[in-house]
Amino acid sequence: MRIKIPFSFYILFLLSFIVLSLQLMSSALQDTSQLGEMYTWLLLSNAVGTVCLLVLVSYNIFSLARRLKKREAGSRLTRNIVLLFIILTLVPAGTVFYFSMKFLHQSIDSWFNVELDGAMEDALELSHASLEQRVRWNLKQSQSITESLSNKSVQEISLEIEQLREIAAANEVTLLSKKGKIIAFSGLNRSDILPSLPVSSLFLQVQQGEDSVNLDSVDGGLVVQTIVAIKPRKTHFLQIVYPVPERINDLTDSVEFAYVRFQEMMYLRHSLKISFSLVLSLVLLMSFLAAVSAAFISVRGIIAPIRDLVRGTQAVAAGFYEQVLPAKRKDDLGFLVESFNEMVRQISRAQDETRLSTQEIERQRAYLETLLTSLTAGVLSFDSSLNIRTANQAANIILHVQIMRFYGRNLTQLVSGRPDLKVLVEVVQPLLEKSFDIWQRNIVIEGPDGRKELLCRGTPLFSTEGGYIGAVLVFDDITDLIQAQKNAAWSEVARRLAHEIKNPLTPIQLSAERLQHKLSARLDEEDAQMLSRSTRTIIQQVEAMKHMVNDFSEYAQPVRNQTTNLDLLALLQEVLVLYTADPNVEFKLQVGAGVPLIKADAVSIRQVLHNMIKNALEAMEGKGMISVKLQAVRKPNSTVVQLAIYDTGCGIDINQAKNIFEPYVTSKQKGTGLGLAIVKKVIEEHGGTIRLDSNYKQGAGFIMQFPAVFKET
Amino acid sequence: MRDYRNSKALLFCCFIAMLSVGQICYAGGKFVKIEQAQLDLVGDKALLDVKLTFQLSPSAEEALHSGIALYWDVAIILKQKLWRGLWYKTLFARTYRYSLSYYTLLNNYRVQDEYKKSFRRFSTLHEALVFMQHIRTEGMVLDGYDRNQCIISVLNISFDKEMLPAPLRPVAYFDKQWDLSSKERLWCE
Repeated sequence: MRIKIPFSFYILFLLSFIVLSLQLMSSALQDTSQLGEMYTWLLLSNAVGTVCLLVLVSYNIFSLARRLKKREAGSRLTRNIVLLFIILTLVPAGTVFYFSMKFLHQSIDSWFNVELDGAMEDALELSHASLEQRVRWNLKQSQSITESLSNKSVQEISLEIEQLREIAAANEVTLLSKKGKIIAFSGLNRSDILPSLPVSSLFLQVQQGEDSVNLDSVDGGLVVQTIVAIKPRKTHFLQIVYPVPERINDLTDSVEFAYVRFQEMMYLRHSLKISFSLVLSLVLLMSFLAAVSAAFISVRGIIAPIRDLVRGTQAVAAGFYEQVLPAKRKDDLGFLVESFNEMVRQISRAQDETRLSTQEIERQRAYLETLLTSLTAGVLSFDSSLNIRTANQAANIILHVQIMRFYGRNLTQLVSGRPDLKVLVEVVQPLLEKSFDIWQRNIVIEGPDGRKELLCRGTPLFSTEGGYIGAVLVFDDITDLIQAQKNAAWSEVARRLAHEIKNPLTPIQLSAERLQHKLSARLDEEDAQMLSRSTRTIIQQVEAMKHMVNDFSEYAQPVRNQTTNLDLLALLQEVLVLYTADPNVEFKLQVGAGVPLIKADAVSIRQVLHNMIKNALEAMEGKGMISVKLQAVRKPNSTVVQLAIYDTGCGIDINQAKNIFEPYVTSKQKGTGLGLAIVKKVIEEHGGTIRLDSNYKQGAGFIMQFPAVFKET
Repeated sequence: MRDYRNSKALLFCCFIAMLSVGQICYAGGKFVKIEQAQLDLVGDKALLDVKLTFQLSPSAEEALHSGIALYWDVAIILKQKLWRGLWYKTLFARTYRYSLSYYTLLNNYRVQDEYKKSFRRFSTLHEALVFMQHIRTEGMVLDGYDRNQCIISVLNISFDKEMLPAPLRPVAYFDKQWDLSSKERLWCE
């Protein structure tokens, strides 16, 4: 099993390494121990470590900027926490850094004040003076010794040289020839075979006749080296090396060391400031970078569950309720994750229940819709503002409107495209608005497919709390029903008339004729004439009644259902030809362009035309003008063939106008009043309409409309 | 891909920065120059005679007078080609270390040969530098010397900045005043 080391461990290790390195570097600056030798490497390792941290932080910042740009979850929180860490770190660290730098620079400067510098110079000068005095004293001592040797030969001096060294308390006494050759030597150290020879400059000086003296350092100790010529001959020189007393030697050495150290520190003052500043800056930089790194590492642990939460929330928003987030933590975020999981579980359960409910509702709705669709009655539902909510298919068919387009709109909006529905809307709308009970009205509209009689029932809707939530309008097209009822009634009347009246008429007529035949010969002329007139009247009236009964019988008969695509113009021309022979009547035929066919029974329509023309002729009493206009009229949802017949007769009384199409309504003395009723019946059975043109005042005018049939191409 | 390009750019910048630092650290030869170097062969031994121009920068001179000792390493490598120059055989390699220091109390300069453990005193800096301008090695025993081939001599005089006090080192690495090393000299005799 491979152990995965967390990334934060590496960061921690790097930080520890840098802190250790900084500590070592700081120590290296303060002493010259072995750490001092490692200073450059420590500095380099710190720089490398800091650069590593810098790269790491830069990468994290770059990554964060990218995530911020993408608006990833948790990126803004990361930014805020990192910024907080930076501020919390920089403010105190920056303050400490500022004052540390200030203190450091002031401290270093205070080390090298003028008094201390002067004291060091004075101490060195004192040492110099002390040594100078010593040198002069040794030189004088040497001169004194050489003076005492002025009368002695070289051999004597050579023999006494040991004694001379002891008297002078010198380290060495050497007798040299003028050319520098060693003649005699006595040294304190018996192991020394050769004396320490004078440097060339000193020997040259003494050769030129001047006594020379030199302060030198030998084996860590100071010695005074004097070379003096032995007078008066000056052919030989005596070199005496005096030791500087140990105390003076130590003191001067100490002073020199202190002075050199001070000078060195003076020289390094600027470098020291730079170095300490560098260390402090590195500490500040590292603290800053460590804080930022720590922020990134810390926030990673915080952001992870938040990211999970966002991912979970997005999953829930997308409709996936199976998302369960890992709850690894035991803190507040862990509690939040647990709460989220519980919430998702509850939502999932609620969603399931809702889904089941929705399915049930949908099933019910589909059932209701099927029910409504299958209804022959039109159903419109309205909301509380009486805007149309739903309509079934039958409503579309009855009203000839795609009511779906008017969903959410008021019923009055229907009128804008369909003026023929104005009657319906004008009646229904106030009832819907004002009535809080079930109401019922019969409303007749002149639709594109002819006259329609609608039975409308309105029901207001109330919620379970009793609030008004809308209304339902149910309407049936009862045109056919009414017509059928009327037809049935008139048919029954006609049948009864035929049965009850027509049957006795023939015996009446035969009886009258028989009376005329039997009694006319037996009566006088006057009575015979009266009988003849009476029987003639009876026969005429019976004939008239027979005619009336036949008309009724004809009215009661159903229209022959042999409909074909009929060219009304051709039929009209055929009929009119029959009447053009009369010179007293003028026919004027106007035909519009593109008159389509109608679907009708030619015989019935021919009868309609004959009836209409006969009526006109009768109204004009055989003299006048009959205008016939045939044209196609376009309506919003259909096209009709309109046939208008105008005469110049006496016209129709305004009181009769309303019931002109009812049976037994006539202005003629001899008329049965069934002509227009039959016409209306035939036309309506063909889906057409007939109405009186009330605008026409020169006589009577009737407008007939038949649904058009277009030829299949 | 974009990140990769950024990484490449970063690496390129680092490379340029390192080159610049390298240029700063290695300028070489302004204060210390090898004027003449000659290798004399005496039997199996070689004698190297080097003449230098040896100067101190103002900063170095100030440091010297402040009691800071200065160290130079004189590296000598004698080698011959092997396998037509594919490889080299080292005949002799040695580094001599010299130090120059100033003694305030005696007011003299000391040049010390760290290899021989000997020193010489000079009353003036000029004398000390003149002394250091001439290097003559003792007989260098050549190991496995091929007389038919020339000896490639490599001479390098480098100032040891690591012997400077710690606070001065960072400055010394970036300040040309402390560029007291010579350029490497390579010749064949």
